[in-house]
Amino acid sequence: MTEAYLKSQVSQFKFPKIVRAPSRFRVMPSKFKIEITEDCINCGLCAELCPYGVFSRPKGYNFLNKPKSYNCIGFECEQNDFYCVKNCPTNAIKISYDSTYKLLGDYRWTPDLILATWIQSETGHPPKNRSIEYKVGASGGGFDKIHFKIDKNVDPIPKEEIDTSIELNRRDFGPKITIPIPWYGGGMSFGSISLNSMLARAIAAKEWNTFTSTGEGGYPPELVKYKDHIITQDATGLFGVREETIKYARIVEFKYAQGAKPGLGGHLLADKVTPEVARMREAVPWRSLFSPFPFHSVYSVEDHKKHVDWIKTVNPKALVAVKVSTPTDVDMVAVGSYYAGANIIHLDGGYGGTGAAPDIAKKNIATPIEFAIPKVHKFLLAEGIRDEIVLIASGGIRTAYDIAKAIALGADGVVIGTADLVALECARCGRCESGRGCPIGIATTDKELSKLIDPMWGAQRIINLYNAWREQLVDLLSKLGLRSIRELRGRTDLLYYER
Amino acid sequence: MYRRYHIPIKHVPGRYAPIGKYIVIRNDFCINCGQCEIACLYDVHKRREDDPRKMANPISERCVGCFRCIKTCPKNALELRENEEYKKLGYKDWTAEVIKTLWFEAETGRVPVSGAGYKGKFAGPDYDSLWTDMSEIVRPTRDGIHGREFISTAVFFGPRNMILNFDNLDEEIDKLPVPLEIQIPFVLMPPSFGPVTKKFLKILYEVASNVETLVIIDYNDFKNEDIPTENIILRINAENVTEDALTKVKCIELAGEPRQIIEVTKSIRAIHPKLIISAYLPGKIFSPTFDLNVLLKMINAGVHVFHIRVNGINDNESHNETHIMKIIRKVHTFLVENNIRDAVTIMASGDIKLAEHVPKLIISGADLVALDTTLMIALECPLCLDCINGGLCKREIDKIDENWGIDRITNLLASWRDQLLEILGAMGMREVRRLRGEVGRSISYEEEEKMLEEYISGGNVE
Repeated sequence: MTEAYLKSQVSQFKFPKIVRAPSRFRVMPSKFKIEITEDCINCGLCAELCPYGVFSRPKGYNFLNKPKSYNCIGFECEQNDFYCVKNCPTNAIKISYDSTYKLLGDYRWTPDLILATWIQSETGHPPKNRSIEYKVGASGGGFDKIHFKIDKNVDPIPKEEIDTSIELNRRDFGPKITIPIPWYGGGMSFGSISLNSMLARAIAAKEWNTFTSTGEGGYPPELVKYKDHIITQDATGLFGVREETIKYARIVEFKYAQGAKPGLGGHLLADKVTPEVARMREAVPWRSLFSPFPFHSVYSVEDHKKHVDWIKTVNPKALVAVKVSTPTDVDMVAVGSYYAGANIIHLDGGYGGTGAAPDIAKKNIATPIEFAIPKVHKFLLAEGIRDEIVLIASGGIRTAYDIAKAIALGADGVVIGTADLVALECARCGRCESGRGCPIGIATTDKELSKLIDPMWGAQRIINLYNAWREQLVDLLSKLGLRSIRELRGRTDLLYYER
Repeated sequence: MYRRYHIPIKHVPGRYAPIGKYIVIRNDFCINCGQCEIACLYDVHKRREDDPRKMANPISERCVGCFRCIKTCPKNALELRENEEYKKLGYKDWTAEVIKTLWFEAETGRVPVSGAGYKGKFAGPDYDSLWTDMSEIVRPTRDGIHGREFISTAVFFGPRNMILNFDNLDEEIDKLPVPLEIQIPFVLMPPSFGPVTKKFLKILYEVASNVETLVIIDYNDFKNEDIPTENIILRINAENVTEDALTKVKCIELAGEPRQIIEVTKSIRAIHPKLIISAYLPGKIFSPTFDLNVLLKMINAGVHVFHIRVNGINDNESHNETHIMKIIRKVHTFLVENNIRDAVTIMASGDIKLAEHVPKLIISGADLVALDTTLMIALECPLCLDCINGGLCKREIDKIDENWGIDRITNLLASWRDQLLEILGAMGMREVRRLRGEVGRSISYEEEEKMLEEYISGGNVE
């Protein structure tokens, strides 16, 4: 594939429009808490001074609006002339850290990361508020300990010349597919998330000319409209996999395992199996569905090849992606998939997201993705087949910087799951398994709760997030002196590991 | 007839009000608009029954921390705090999270399942520095707990014949006691704190006989109480072994100095060749200067089981700076190198907090574990440890209903067994005995991190 061809592909692509998509709720949690005490004389000076829009006074009114704390940039504002606390004539303004905010999120998705993702989904750009750490989490390992070395002497590349596209087929058979951003959406089934959330993801994938995946819960007819941007997943439960759903797809994905529950099949607990979901999965309503593990027809690479051949018989035009988890011998699995004729090998690391998984599995089985990428990348290089297969990583990729790090470690691109949902205002309370327990209306099949998500609004939020990420990637590549994201692959010399 | 081993569970609610992680605070800005009541799916916010014009105090223990009410409230009148009572649960690294997990398991008997990815730290010391492997495509796999394949969790307790000498087969086998087969790799024992009453011991041996495992009972308790002799490992101090103890049970456990244990074992073996003898080895023995050859001497004298106890709660003699996994690994490796590993069973106890620690200890080389503290927690002990200083049990564990206790502990064991099956299924193993010492099927954080660091600093791969 020539660079010129890729460039032409990308130049034809029109980037989706960024429209502000504010939160569905009145209040955004914020890092800082602004209080106006009783000493306030409603002079309105703060509303005149603050450039971030924290304070405002409706025209013709005497009283100030309730301060919009989440716009505040915090204590670093002290050095500015317009710092409200100093300027207030009656010392009526107080800034403090919000203690509620600290309880948002967890070590992997810190409050800052969640809030930053919400801001990016709202505005379509990286957060301007420098007090929010939007690059790394606080897990104390993996991506959170890997950083980029930015050499100040490198001449930055003009941003408009930078190309973030990757190709998804580098073998000499099958159609060529190029996506303008180095990621696509991971499998989330109908049942694990609501139809509206699936639609939001599908519309966003269409706008960005990338993909999202059906997950293992069948292919709802509402999604057929977006079939050119939807991967049909063929998982161990084979729920809803039919000849026509395989024929719809440009990419068919075999899900052997999932990072959050490696070695275990999919879990869909009884409360989520509504009659609609059951019909789609050809199962009994209100009964828990546990997919088997593994495919009971695949116990070797030869069996795996047989599977790939079935798909290619049904739909010769489809690319085949193989989603596997990360055992110690993941490199062998990857090479096996290559010889079976796969186009994409998708590694899902141990800390990936899930709709429901045993806690013991999430924490303790299989390696995190950071350790698996180098292993597979090196092995494929040694086998001389690295440039024929596309290596996609997933499982705990939260930010644009995680994407860049995964690529610098040796992946071609990544798959995004949880971040899509955080864009839809998920706060990671972890009640996805419970059916009617998702307060945001994402991981639910309840008719009422599903209505909380408007697909168009959701799609815009995801589109915005993707745009913000792309901007960050372009910025990073420019600083690193690279013209394309493909040049970043395996460039561990640009990284350093923090001890 | 074939009987598939299974531990029946039932829902056994706790006796005390649940302790939530969060406290929801409604401050004075509240205008009683009721938006939060509509927003909350978990019924934290309700109007007052006596005066529906006003909102009632939030029912905080139901809060899951989804932030929806906080984001909805038009007046910023809701705040979230961490519950101090929740934070106080537990003791040292037995965190509130550990206690809550064990309570959930004892209440439901199920495997804790939740949505969203792993939320904790990337890795940590000791148990958290090890991941178990899984099987995929190139290796056969197993169905796990929801499948049809049976995965055995049975283990042997006692000696295995190292060599069969066919010239005098009868005599060779006669020399050794027959090992007991127990259905789960968990032995029960009373903890060294809390109200270990007659009732508590009764609960333990009822559970042990129901789920087909063993329970370690102290000789003093055994003497005074009317305890059946089946499923019992009798703990005796090596100094005052009495003849009546040795005739009633199949296994005894000797506590004392290694030298003493060796002597006493020799004399017991001469009279009772069929008795399984376990040596109690508390953590303080395993100082850096400890000569592991003593273990060989013990085996030669006729010890069949090593009970290695490290860092039990309120247990000074089991204190050791080194983590239990490392000590077990060292002993296991030493015995393997001396070609004598199968002559003994290694039982680990002490610092075992969660179900995930069992497979990790077995991978390190243990055959089975003995549970104590977790059993007390299953009965709703919050590990306040007031009892150590002579305080009364806040949770009145001495007054529990016997059947309630039996069901709670049975639930805990069922949940732990199922979680062990999840790990074994994912690894493609058909029985837990195959897991012992399988370091090759585990992933070490230190090694992986070193490899990653080398990879990154080494630059571009050729």
